[in-house]
Amino acid sequence: MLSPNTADAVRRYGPMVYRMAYAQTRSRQDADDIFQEVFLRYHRSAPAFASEAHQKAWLLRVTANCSKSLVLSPWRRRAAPLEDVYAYTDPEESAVDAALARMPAKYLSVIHLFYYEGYDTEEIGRILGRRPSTVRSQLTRARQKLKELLKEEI
Amino acid sequence: MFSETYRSINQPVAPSPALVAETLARTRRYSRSLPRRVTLIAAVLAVFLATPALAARTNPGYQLLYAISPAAAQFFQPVRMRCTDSGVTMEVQSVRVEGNTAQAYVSLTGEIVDATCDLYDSWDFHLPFDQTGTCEQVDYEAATHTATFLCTTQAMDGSPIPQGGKMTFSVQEILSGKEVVEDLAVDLDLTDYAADAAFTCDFGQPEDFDVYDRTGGSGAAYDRYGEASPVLSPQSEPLAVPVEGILITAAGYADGLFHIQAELKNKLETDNHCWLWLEDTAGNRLECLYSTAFCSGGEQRQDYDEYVFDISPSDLENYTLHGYFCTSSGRTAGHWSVTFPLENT
Repeated sequence: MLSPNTADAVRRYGPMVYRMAYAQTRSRQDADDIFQEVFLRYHRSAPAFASEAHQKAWLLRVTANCSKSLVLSPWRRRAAPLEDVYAYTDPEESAVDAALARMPAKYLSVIHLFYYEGYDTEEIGRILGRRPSTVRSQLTRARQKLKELLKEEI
Repeated sequence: MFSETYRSINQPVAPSPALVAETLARTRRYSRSLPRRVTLIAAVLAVFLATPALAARTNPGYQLLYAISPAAAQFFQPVRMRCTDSGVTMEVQSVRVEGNTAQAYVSLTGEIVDATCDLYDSWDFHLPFDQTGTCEQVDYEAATHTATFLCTTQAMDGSPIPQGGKMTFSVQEILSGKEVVEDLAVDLDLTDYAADAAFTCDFGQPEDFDVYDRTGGSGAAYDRYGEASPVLSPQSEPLAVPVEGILITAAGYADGLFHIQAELKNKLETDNHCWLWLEDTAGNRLECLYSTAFCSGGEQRQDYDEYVFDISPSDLENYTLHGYFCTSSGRTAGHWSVTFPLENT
């Protein structure tokens, strides 16, 4: 019998987990694998959470870890086929997407948690197990790198 | 704005209904023996790929094993309590395991190691289970140039640290000669800069865009003002030098807001950084609306931070410039890695 908690978590946080995985891997196939892995881990460990915020943070943390492991995997495909990525018709969106695809992987989780999930640097530090000062410097370096890449894309 | 574009490109990203259904089906089929089987298969695979001990002794082999199964990789990784590179020796001093937490004291010894040495976000833990970790310097012995770090890791799901596991701690960069000044009153009369700045660099103009490149920004109002706002043109002679390695290079008004600019010498190598604010005679702080960072192009790269305040010219006489400043002498690259059993020593 399916644990109602797992089904509920998939329904409520599935899109969040999938977006975080895609943001880090830039591949639908990889995001699919990570999505399954995260919720299988959730089901296996059935962790107890003090609050919804805690539950969200746990899922984001595990997603970040799974993505990091997959990105570092020597078996991972280096180039994604066209059907494996989202396509954008707007030139600005397309340029940002292309720049993100060339960003060092270590910055992608910080960018996503800051710009999409709306966490501040303290919260990102807690989720990723990094010091807030580290997150702040990574965010600054990520913006710097993004700026360079966007200039190239434009 | 980047944040809006980023949100819009991520909005359509979502799991397909088929993926959701498949994931839920897999959780139904889940059996507790699965992870053991995966580990066993990985270990057998490792035997066929190469001699496990040999594979684990090379970094690519270790990374390959770790990608297949962290538990198998850590099992085969040989214990190495000491490692030397670039004149710095890393050594495991002691390990403590209690409940869901493991802690290790790891020392770094070498001429470049000082009381302030910083691992510059280059440290990493490898363990056979999901975990969260921290690493902080807890001691320094000047006579031997030895800094001791406390590495703490906790099992993600709160379960006890498994018996017989091993942990690998690695570092790629060490920043040393770090100096921090928490709150320094800068010797600068702000009323001297109550007028519009004579020169500004407008990122909207292509000619300025080629000379200077904006590298980021922060603050609640950065998205509203930051990307489009001008910055002051750096002056050749600094207005003030609060600490060695960080200079105040411009101040004045642009678009009705008060700007103060700091140059961060050799930022990429030293991680020099600062935070500026204004303070009145009662000690009340006025924080900037936003800060923005930019650098000069060309071979002689120079990095700047500019802080922008919402304060009228007539109020400047009531405030002084204060700052937090952090500088260092530089960083050392290398590969330091130790592996140790997760058991009390």
